[in-house]
Amino acid sequence: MKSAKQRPGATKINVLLVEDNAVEAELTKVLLAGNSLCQFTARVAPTLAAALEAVRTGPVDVVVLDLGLPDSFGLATFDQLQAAAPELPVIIYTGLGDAEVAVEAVQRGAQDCLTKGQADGDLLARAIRHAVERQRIELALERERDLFRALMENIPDSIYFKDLKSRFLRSSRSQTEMFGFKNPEDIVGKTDFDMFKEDHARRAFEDEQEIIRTGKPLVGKVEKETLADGRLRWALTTKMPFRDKQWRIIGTFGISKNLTELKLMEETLENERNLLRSLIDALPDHIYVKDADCRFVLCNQAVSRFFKLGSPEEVHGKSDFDFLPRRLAQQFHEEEQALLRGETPSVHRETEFGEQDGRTHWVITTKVLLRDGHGRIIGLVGINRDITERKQVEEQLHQINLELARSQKETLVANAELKAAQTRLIQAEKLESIGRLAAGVAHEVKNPLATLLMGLDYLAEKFRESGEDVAITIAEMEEAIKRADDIIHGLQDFSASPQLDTEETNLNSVIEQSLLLTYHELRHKRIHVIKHFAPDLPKLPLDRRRIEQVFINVFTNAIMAMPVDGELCLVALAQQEADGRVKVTVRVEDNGPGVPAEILPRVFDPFFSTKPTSMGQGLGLALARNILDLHGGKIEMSNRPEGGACVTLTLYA
Amino acid sequence: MAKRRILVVDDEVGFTKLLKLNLEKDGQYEVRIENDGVKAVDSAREFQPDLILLDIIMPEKDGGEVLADLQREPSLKNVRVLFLTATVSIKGVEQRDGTIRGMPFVGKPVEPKRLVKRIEEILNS
Repeated sequence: MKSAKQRPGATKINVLLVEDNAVEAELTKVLLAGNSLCQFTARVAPTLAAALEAVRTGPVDVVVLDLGLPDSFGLATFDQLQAAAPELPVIIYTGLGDAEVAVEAVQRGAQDCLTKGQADGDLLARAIRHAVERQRIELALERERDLFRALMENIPDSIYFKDLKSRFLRSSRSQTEMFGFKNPEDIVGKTDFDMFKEDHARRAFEDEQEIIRTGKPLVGKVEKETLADGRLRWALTTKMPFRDKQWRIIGTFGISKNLTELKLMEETLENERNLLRSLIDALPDHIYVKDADCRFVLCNQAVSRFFKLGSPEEVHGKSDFDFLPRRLAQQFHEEEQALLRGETPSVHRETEFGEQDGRTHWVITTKVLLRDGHGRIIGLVGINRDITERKQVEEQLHQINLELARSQKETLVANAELKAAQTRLIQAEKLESIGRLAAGVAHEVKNPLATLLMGLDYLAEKFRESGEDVAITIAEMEEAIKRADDIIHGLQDFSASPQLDTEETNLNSVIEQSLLLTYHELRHKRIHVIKHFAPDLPKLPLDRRRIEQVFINVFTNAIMAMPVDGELCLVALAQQEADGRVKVTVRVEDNGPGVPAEILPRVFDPFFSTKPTSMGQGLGLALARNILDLHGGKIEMSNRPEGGACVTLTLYA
Repeated sequence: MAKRRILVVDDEVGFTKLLKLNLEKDGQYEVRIENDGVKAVDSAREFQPDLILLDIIMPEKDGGEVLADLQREPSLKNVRVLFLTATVSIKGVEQRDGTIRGMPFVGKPVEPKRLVKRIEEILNS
């Protein structure tokens, strides 16, 4: 590629004369030098090898070739040279006899052929100049063809040329293959009606005819096309009028870009957007997006309904301050600003959401940051779930739990009462069986006692005069019978009916009455009685006559143990128990010798007594305990630290 | 003055014998014993006592039933009755105003002097 670009006339043309005949060579150089058209620089190569070497080293713009050389002959000479320098123009310059071979060479690409001896200087110069020029034009043309071919063969967009009747003149390879053909030539002469479904083909045809009529191009039209085989295709099409050199419209040409994938992506995106929208609108939770100023960007139907908006779009640009009480809006604003500053995440937070429809609403909120493609914070996304129902259920549950705890406590108290009642019942049953036994024993023992007494009296009459010993014997026997009778009576009292005849009774008055009934014994030993009665003692459910009996027995017992001028101290007080009952305690304190520790546990046993036999049957305290048991109370005896015994009676209101 | 007739109805054989001895020893009373409650009314009809000392707990027929039968018998319905019983306690007597089914009573064991005193009170009332 050296000589072809030189402009003839402006510069010298470098001519390589391939000629083994030195005289011919010199003659040709003279001819060229003598021409009037242009200047030449001529070099001579006497062999093909020399010629090939000269072409390789240059500069050579054109070769004037004699076919008969020492190292090559005929067409082979031309072929070898052309193979070495395909773009170099060659003029065959040969003798008369070689005319046929010369014509053959021209057919194979030689630019011209001249016969030695027939050409003068000007003719030779013109031939050389034309050869160079023609070669240059051919190369340029070939270049244009290459560019066009590259375009039509490789561009993935469809490119086509059509005639005035919209028949394909040329079609790019991509389009050819899209239409299902192998070679672009295969569709020449066909139309869109062969390639597309009727409706698109018609539209395209009309568009093209419009362009031909008006000369106005159609630019950037998005078309939905259905190919003949049913494939759907989206395309961005530009069509232009196709003009000849005279600017006459001879058809149309166009380029069509395949948008199908883009469109499908767009559709997919659109579908996804719709899906998302339906989803968030169908959800009962409040879903919303806010910008960095905590203004709503969008929300779902649930928010729209809650705020009583016509549609979710109306929320745009508004803030919580437009809908919620100021205090609540302020709270949300601060929370969201903290979130946006990245300070505190806001996940699953329970919040009172103000009044609506006359009841307090509760929501659980989760708010997360919203970032753009570069990771910058641009707002937040929030979800509020209404948990009012759950809160109400929780509250009800709480109330039920309280109720449960209360009834549990009541059950405990009831249980305690039941247990006490059961204990009393068992006690009563025990006493009843003792009572039946006692009644039977009493009857069986009293009859022999009656017989004995009857007999003894009779004997006493009979032996009245028999002396003092007999009288003493009889008196002792009578005394023994009387004692046995007393024991039977005591046993009968002890086991008297377990049925209590209770009424609300003032305990103080019972104690006073009992003191009155032991007046003689107290007076006899000159016992001083000290009373500490709490003023607020409640009335108690008591069998008055039996409780009197209890106090009489306890007092009698104490008096017997006390010295003359002793001191009997009575203390009565009330106190609230843990289970709510009121307990009344009465302490009877004497200043006697106290009770030996080893017999303390037995003092309430029946027939246990430390007194001489003549002074009691050992049933007084046992009877007292029975009566206290029947009342659900207690009686205990202890020794006082300062000396003397203390009997403690406990009763419940 | 004629002896007062006393019928003792009691299943305690030993007791009734000694009671009879005690009551008859001063010649004031004529005492007949009936140890079987079932025969009490027959004995009473035959004996026509001024007073019947009547036990309560007896096998076959108790004192309550005997009293009811006596009161149905025209010749005996005004006869005086004193219950003599081992079934009641001292307190029991106090609670019953000294009577059982409208009749006075005395609990066993009883000293003969006290019993005679009660008998005289009843016979002279």
